Amino acid sequence: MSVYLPPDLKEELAMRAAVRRMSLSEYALNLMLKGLDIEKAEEAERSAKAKKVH
Amino acid sequence: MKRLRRPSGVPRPRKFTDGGVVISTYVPYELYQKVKELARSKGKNISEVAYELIKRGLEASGASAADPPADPPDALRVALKGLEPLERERVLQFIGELEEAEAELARLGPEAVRQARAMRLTTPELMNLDKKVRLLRHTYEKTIKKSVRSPEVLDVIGERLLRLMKELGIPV
Repeated sequence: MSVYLPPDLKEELAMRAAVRRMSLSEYALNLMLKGLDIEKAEEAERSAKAKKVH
Repeated sequence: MKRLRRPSGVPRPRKFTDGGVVISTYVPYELYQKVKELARSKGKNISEVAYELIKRGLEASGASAADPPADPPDALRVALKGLEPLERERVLQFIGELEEAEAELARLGPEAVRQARAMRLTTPELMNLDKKVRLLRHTYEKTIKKSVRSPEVLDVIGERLLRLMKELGIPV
């Protein structure tokens, strides 16, 4: 998967990947999974709120 | 609605004003499908959604460059329990040295930090601190990273070292 990023974010990711002994690809994958979990949790919260309203 | 065509010769507006870079990530097919689905539901392209997810993941991991939170001591304590005695000793010693450097930086104050970021190491104290942190980086690279196998421990102390290096403008 190709991701277009601002260069400073790429630098940041590369640094953080290096301290974790990971490749940039692995680290980005981990962050995406974490981001997806947050997205899911928020979605669940939104739908729970919507149910309460109705 | 009909899309308007950009007149020829007019460059496409840049998404990131300083220009962007493309990174390639190797992801499981299942994740790719999820991101694709999310992109479709949001009316965005896959790269944009992946970028958002990365940013959110980074914020959630407490790695936001703008405002890094304090380290969770409990997490470190739990992670340290799983180490071999020798490893634990080595990590604790390293953390002690990190704390010394952090305290020294706090003592020198924000003006010194500003100077360090501008790569103007004007005072002997600042030069000593810079030397100390570079030595810590060397120890981390050559000893800690090679001997400590716990990713949680490496995460916590690596973050602290990175923060310190950033404050002093030391490249990785």
